[in-house]
Amino acid sequence: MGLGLGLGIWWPTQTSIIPGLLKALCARATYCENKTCTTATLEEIAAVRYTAPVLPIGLLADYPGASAAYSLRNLIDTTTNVVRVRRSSDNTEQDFTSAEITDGTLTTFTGANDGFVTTWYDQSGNVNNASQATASNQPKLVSNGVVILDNGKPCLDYDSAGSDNFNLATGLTSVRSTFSVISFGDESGNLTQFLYGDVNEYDYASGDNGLILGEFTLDSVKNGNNKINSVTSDFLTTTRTSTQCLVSMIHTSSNGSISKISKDRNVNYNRSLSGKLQEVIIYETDQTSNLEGINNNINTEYNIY
Amino acid sequence: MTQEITGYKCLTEQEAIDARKQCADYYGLPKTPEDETLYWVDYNTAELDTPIFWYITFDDSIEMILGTPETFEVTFPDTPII
Repeated sequence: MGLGLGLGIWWPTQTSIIPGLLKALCARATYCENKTCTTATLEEIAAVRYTAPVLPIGLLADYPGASAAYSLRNLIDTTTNVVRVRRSSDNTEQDFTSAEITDGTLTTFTGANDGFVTTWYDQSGNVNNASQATASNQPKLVSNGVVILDNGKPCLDYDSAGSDNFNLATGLTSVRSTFSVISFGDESGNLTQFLYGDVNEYDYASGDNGLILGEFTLDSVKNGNNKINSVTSDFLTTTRTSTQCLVSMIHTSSNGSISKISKDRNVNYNRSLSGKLQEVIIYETDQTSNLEGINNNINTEYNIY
Repeated sequence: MTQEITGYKCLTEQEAIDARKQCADYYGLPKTPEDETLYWVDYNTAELDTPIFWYITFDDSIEMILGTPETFEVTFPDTPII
């Protein structure tokens, strides 16, 4: 039995017609979820529990597009291993997650010995890992069986010999924005403490009394939006500090080159970073609009200022 | 500027490569093919000196392999220009 809808259209009542109609016309239908499509009966489809897609979480999810990102924490929750460590006792190497650095797994591996980082895995998704093939140039993460900390969080300890550094798998030549959490080990000396290095360029040349050296640092780095602990600073006159700080740089018109963390090209003596490094995030895009958010995220993790 | 270095001076690059391999072999590197660490120490090039030479900087851990180190001067650039 049908009912008129007052529009001159005949419409079947639900009770009399629809079940049979649906079964007849739509015995099978196709539904799609996360690009996977399934053909099934309506009853089967109705029985499927909807699962909301799981979105990634973390700094790199909130501020995507990094060209390279290294940390001892997860910058995105899809990260697995963050470092590969060589133990000093027998030179065995093993990968570790960020949780394993602090839950005792790492120090169980090293025993009462030292642990050196051979690879700092890139969390950006670009597989641009930072690695060091020479044992004597590898920064230390575990000292005598204890994870090295800076302000309570694990850190890489670059020794004062001036040779510790990593080489990026792929050099970046269009760097526009950088973020790093660092404590410098040496507060003076021209060209001795490159924040970032490159095999050919010296865009981040370090100064004696400043973080950068006016004579040689790339103009767009020198004249960019440079901040320490979110406070705008003139890096030419801002001395390096041995206390933990967040250094953020947004370059102006042209691009910086980074292929080493950190060393001045292949200059062999005392031109590597010394100090403690916890995080390096590099974008080849201008992150001015995200600067405050990224700095806040980092400071929330490290409680720097 | 010159800097006094204590280490092992090599007159050819092949000599430096061999010394580097001696140290790696002594410490069993690389331990497995999957490992990142290939060398114990690396050599440097004194490319501003004439004649050019190669050297490995001294470390206690290689004295038993390469013997008693010597002291020599290496020229480094005053500026980033090399």
